[in-house]
Amino acid sequence: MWITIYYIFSYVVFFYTMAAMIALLYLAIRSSVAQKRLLVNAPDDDTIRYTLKSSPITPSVSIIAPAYNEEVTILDNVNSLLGIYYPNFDVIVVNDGSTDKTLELLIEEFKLVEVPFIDLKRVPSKPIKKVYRSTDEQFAKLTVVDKEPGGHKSDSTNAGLNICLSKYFISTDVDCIIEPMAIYRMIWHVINSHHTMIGVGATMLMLNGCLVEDGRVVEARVSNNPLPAFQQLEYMRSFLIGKMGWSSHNTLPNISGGFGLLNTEVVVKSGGYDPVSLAEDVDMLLRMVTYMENTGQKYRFAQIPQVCCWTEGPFSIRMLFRQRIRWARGLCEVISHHKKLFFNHKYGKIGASTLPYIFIFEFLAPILEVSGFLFMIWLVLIDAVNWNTALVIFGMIYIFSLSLTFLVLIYDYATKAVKWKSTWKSYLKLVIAGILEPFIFHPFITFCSIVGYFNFVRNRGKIWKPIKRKGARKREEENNGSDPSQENPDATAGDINETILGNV
Amino acid sequence: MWLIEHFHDFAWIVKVAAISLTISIGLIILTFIRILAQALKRRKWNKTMSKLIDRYGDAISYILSPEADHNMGRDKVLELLDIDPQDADPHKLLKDWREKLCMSRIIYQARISEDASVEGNRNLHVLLNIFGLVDFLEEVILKDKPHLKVESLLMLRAFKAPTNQWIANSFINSKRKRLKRLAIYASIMSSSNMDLDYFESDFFGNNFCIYDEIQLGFVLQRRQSAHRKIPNLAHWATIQTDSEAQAMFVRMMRQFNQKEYCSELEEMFHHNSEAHLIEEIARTWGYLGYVDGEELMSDMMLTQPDDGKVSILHALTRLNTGKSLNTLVDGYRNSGSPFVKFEALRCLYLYGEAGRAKFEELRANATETEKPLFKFFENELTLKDIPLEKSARYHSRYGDNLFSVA
Repeated sequence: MWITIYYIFSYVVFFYTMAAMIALLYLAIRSSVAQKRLLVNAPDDDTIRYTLKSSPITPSVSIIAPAYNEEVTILDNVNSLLGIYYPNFDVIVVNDGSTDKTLELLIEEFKLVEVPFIDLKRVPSKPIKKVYRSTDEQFAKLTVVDKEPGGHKSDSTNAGLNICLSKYFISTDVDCIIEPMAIYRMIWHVINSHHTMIGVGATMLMLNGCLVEDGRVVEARVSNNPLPAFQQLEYMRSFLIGKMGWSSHNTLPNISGGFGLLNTEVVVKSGGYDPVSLAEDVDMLLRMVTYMENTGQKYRFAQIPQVCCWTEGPFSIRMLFRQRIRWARGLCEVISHHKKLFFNHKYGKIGASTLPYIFIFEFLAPILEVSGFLFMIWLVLIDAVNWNTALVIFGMIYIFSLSLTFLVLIYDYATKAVKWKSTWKSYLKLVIAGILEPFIFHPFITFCSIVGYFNFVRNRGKIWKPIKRKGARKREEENNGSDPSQENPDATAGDINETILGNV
Repeated sequence: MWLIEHFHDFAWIVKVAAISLTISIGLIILTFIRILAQALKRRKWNKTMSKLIDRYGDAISYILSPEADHNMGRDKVLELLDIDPQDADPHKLLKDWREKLCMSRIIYQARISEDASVEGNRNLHVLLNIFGLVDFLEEVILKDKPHLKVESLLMLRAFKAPTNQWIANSFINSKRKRLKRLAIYASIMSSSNMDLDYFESDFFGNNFCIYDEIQLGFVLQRRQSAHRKIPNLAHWATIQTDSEAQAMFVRMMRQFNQKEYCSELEEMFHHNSEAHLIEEIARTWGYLGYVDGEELMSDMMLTQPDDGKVSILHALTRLNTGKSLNTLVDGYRNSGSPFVKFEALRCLYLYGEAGRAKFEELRANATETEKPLFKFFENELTLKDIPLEKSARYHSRYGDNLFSVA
């Protein structure tokens, strides 16, 4: 009987691995197709700006940025948001009951005064207490919402949606640094779509190691700290291969909660964000798809390869651990809440292909990996390992993983997704990260996922713990040799699918 | 052979793994070669670009700038470019295809930069003529890869170069819809005499997008600048099958002030079930002062979704005939949405003396839940936003005649 189990398990793992590799290779090829299509269809930034900047029909966009205890970074980041190039946008900062000086700093710096407001109550959120606007014309695009603490980013985003009148909104974190041309690049896909564009995602990378001046990334670099470097590579794989690949099929696993453009009307009609979800971005996407499919409307997604947003990633193992177990728990929540969509062709390509992929190759991967690892230890102990076979299979997986790293770099180079300070030096760091990742980073992430699953089963880890941020100025100091002391595990809150491809 | 012999005795599972391994290694080598090839190619392009920018960049920026004399003449432009008139042969100045494309891009960038102006600026055409770029771009459109065709079409459009109808004709049967439309827009843009027969049919089908609206806005604006008649847009609206395309032409009627055709929209307003189209018609009637539509709008106000109600309320306020006071009050009293209630109050506030009196009456009798809505009319900052032009950001911009860049 044990021999039967041994064979069955071995074959399951082998075929699973082969299937994952084929799926990834397919996504990589599709990504290449999508990027080529973009090259043909999307003009350069100057042309987009030239076309849209004075058109009266350029769609309006609101940037909704929830803030909780962000006194270190809030002023720089709001100034950075206000400096975005786009003719028809506003910024809604939602203060989720901060206990520090976040609100006071905003009021003082931007000359804010309380104004009447209509809480449209279109989507559920904790009550809005006050709304502020600036008396200074140069900050006319800024609105600050002060609300009862909801404890979750999604609750704050919903509050922002309740006073938002724009056709599209960008869901982001107030500590993210957005590229000035970001909205132009994303809205280009909205204005070129024949069907309702429900969301546009863009590449998001690690801010760690970059040089920031006046709220702008002036030099993109890969951090010398290995943890952000591993995450950088992971993000690049996720965005440039995973999401770009899916987007060529008009489907996406998620539109990043850290930075994504969404159709306001569709979000509202879908019921808004789940106010207590730990994976609100995936959850929102699935709600929108459910709404569009149930009402029989045609819709589109888009993903663009250029980097439009920079976010601070965790520096320490403790913070990374917290972030990843939350993501894993969020994935369980999504599977549990939206189980009717999985393997269900009625919900379009997402139900028929993307969600099954997430379930099989994202959710199950850590379980299979850990059980495979334990199985291997058992085989070693009973001296039943065929080392020749084991080494060949290991080599196959390892080399495949490396080839994906190289592929990401070529995509990055071809699409000029990032303007690195030193391209070759950055690539070298990423290749080294790719070489070491399967031995160091990946086992750790797998472990975090398993802990997250256990938390879900035991109904623990629902609380979104507040954290402190380093801030752009400190990052500049770090680039000058200072020692980093604080971390930010929640910078890309809810981006559980940034781990896509990381589990193989 | 070595592989076959070496793995001959292994299990098939190992063979599969070995094959995958070989393919992966091959993939890595290929990608590495491709990166290198691309890097070399890009370096070559960058080198050419830098060389041309160093040589001509500053002069071109100056020649196209608003500060420069807009009609310098060929000799002066050559002098600024530091080119001997005897050497001013396009084939001598730019050696090959790459240099010509780079030079086109440099001029294009200068053209669309913040400060450069093209209106009445003949220097651009002198520049294009000196380097022979119009012919070159037309050649690219005929022969090159699709993305270069698109780029060239956009450049020609921006240059307003006098191109020919053949550009549009060469793409009229193209399967690439985007290229086809771009070609048509570029052709029309480049000549104010080009006819607009394309739109006398269901030109957009089910493939309309906002980009078309932007392009068509530019096209018609150019036609208007050349003092040529703008066709009946209400008629074009009725021809289209896509309601978004219909809404576009209705919107454009506001831009081109086509009040005389407003009555043609009545049937569409009455019988169409697309809420957004009804919204656009109401807004257009309001802007253009089409008083005959007032009764129809009043009758249909309460049956519309929230955005539709607001559009009608705004339109009635713009007409300001004094006949729609009750409709505005109905908008306030019979709507559950605070958004619609507020907009109805705004309209009453702006609806002459009678409206203001009704507004005050409602203010005096407001319930606790309604009172916050009146605070907007007391606060200095929000009071500034009460005029209809500032009602909602996505409404206000549509009404403005802003198609100024073409």
